[in-house]
Amino acid sequence: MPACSVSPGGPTLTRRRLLVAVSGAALGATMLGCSADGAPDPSPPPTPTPTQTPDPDARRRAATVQSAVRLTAVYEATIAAHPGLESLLAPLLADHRAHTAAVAPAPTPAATEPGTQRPNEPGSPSLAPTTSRTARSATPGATTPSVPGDPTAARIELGDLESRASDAARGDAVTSVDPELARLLAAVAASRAVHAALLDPAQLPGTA
Amino acid sequence: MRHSDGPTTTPTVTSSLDPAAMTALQQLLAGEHAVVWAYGALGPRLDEAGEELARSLLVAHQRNREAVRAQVIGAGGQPVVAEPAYALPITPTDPNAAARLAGLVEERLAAVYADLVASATDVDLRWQGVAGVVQSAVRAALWGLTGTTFPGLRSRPYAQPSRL
Repeated sequence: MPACSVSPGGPTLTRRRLLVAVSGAALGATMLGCSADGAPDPSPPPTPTPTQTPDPDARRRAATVQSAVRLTAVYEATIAAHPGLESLLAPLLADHRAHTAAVAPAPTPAATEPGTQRPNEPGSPSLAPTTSRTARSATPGATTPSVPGDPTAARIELGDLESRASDAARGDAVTSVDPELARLLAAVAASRAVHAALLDPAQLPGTA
Repeated sequence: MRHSDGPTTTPTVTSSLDPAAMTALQQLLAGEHAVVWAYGALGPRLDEAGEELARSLLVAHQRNREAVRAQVIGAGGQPVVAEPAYALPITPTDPNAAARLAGLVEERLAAVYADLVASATDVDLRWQGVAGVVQSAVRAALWGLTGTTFPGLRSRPYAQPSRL
């Protein structure tokens, strides 16, 4: 099995094809990482509640939550190191916390009855974090992220991280078994891509 | 939803697409019709820099509209046609209002793409939908739209004809 196999349980899709599709979609996409920090696929996803039907999207949820938690940590460290960036970064940090809450594995698997987890009603997808669950099981190595001393460099580094995380969420949106999870992960990918654009001073001169 | 050959409401030709996916494609086509119309209306109200961006995005949307139309036909559907006019949610009286309108229509198009994501039955359509959500959200941001926690997960504006 290749290090970056994409779709256990999802539509058949080779990594090569994913890469082609990503580069075709452009929009500042860089490359499709296996996870937000560019590491190879992590070891097997955290085991959900025992005795329940396994969620076929467990790996996708875990990967997306893991990258959101990682981004949250980097944003917090960057704001601490560069308070001048707080007004720019705070709303984006809030987005990542919201992503974590929305994507975190549900207490009961959504695989068999997705409708009970996220009603498929046009206009009112259920996104409210209805429980106070956290995603500790998906937290990667809890080291404090290092932040560049120069604020502009720190901003650029965050933008790169957002781009890679966006690409990873795109890939997971495409291969999700649950169509409503696919919709949600597409939104996460889009939000991260917008962040990358906002963090790039050249791309959005008016908002710097 | 209007069709070129009259009030047929469902594609009757041997469609190679799941009905839900065909509906989502048709809504995307209807959405692109509306966005093209909106750019035509708001373009002249923008300042110089905005006008340049609007021109390039108008061309991009026109191309995409043709591509989606071809997709619908290729899948055995009868492509929806544009409405004669659309009610604008914001009147583009000045450059700021015009930019807000552009951001709003891009944001709403993201929701149409999100429906394609959820109803797609094959990987290619999924990709198209996901890329569309991302692209629309970034374009909305280019117009200064803020507050993008979950792009595409809001209202579904194009369900009703003649409305943006």
